[in-house]
Amino acid sequence: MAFSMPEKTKRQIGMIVTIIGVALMAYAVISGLINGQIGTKEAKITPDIAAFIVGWFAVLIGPALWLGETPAAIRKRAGRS
Amino acid sequence: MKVIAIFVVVIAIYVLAYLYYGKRILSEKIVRASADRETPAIAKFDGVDYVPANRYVLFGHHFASIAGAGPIVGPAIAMAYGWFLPLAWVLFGNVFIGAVHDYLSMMASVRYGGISIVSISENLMGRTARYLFLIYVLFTLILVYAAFGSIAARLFASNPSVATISILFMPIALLTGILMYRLGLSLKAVTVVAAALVVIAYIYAYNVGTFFGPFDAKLSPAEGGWVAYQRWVIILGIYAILAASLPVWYLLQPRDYINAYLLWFSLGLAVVSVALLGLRDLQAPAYTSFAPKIIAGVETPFWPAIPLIIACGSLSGFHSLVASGTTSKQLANELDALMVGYGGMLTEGALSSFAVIVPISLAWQAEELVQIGVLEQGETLLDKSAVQRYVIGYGYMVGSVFSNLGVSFEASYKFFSIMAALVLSMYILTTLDTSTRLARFAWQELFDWMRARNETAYSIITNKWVASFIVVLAGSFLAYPVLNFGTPEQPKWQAAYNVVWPAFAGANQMLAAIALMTSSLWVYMILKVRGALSALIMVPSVALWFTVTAALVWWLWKVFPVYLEKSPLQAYGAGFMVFFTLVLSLLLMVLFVVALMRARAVAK
Repeated sequence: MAFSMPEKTKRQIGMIVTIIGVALMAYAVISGLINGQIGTKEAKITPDIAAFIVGWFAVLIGPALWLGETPAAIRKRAGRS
Repeated sequence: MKVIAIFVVVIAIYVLAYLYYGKRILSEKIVRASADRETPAIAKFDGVDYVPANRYVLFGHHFASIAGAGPIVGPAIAMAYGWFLPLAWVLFGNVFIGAVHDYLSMMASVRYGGISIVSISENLMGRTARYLFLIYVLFTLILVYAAFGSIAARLFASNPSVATISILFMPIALLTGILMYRLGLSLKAVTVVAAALVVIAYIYAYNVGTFFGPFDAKLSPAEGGWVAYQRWVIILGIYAILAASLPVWYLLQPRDYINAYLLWFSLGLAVVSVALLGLRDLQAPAYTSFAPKIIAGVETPFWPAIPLIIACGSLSGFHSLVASGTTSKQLANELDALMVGYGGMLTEGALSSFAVIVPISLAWQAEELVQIGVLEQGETLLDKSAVQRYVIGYGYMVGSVFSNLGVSFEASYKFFSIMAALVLSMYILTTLDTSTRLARFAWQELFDWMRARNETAYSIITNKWVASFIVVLAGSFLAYPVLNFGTPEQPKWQAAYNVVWPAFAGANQMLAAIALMTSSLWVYMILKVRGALSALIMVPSVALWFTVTAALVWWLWKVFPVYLEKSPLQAYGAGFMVFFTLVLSLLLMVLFVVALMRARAVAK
């Protein structure tokens, strides 16, 4: 039996994930500007590279959950309401 | 040989091929494409995979998806033959096999409601052919993922700026999609915004690299030299799973639309540079040897081995999966297929010609590169890796044009060589998530028999996240190892793609032969095309099948023993794949001949 999340909850989670993702990426980008690089050549994983990667993934999936269904512009092109 | 001579010949061949062979023969006489027929994107619209796209957007997606590292790395490796043979193979294969293969795969899929070339094979050759084909495709796509995942991880680890821009590129693509589809901005406005953001991101990445741990290719993995590489293999795997499971309108379409501009820009710069440097002579020899030592240090004869080296620049079976997998489901009008399918492949050939073969031939042992420390005295580009040949060659050619305008050669070389690496990265990332998406389709089709017997088991096994995960896991497993291609005393550590590439290329080219045979059956049996027009498709498909079969047998005979000596585990893995490829292709050839004989009997 497939689990289906209520649409409203999905959108709220999507919004939160997007905001967190944007914030994490912004932190990494600003940190890069200050330090001249993101991450380090050493084996340890620094907060900025972790934020950059996690933020990247969050930004990839967050808006998809938040914005939800296929946009009207695309439905219109396909002749669907 | 003057550069301008190459320029004129290549352009003339492509223009004639598009207008005469593509438009008049393929589109008008063989397929009889019509704007009045409803395409699957309209008829089966679902908002996820079946979504009609603007033809320029779709051209961007299709071109970016098919133009992986293949059209760059393959010709760069093949420069060991000199420039003439690789260029001749790119032009011939492109016009008469590759572009025909892409266009017909796309149109056959469109006429069959958007199903893949694999499912079409069932209609033409029976159910057994379909399942053999599906296993073959799944297997090939895992190899595609492994080869390209390994190259991408190597590129990110050794070029931190490329890692930065590649990551920043994705949110820009998402924003583009949202502006286009959600907020209803015009395509022009969206393009301007996206271009501005990409320029800002490029300037940022030029100055800020992303480091994911230590990377020193001279050290062994145990000494920590490949930490960044192996981390990127894992991160790119997670990216591929996410990107391949998202709706196409959301990431794939807008990302590839921007990609196409980037690719067009770099290709345009290459073409203009070739024209502006037209009076220069090519520095590389036109011909070196028919069998230089290329694959695993073994003498590699041009025939039959060339399909194992030059893949996508000339022809590629992977393209049939893109054309009949994602592209055919987004085609809004049958007439668009000529530009997207046939034109897309010619563009890829132009990329190989103008952005790889000519630049490398120009930069062969240029004094300017010695002066800035890129080459040592007496060294040629043949002494560099294939990716480096392309990056250095492109940076040299475009950098030379700008240095003629007064810009410092060193600065312009650096700028354009990073751009070349960025373009390569964009090609590869697109290929990673597209191959994962297509492998997911193949996986889901492979288990369709289970649906009627056990709906719950079917829905779990074919769940898009599960399917993507399995494919990426297998591909990453192959991409993860780092191997010593030297001796214990003088080690030469290299990423896994060095082992996987010939296996991927062989499986991929054999797939092209099988897909083209399927398309030729479609043309003969369904479109009822006979005589010379039918032979135009069938003869190249059978000739290609024999060439690739001979190449794979040569690989097992000559290359496999060398691999076995150096790295038994990897050699058995690659050897199994090549052997499996040969057996399946033989079975499919038998089914093809049987189907053709039946069709001829019915026709009589």
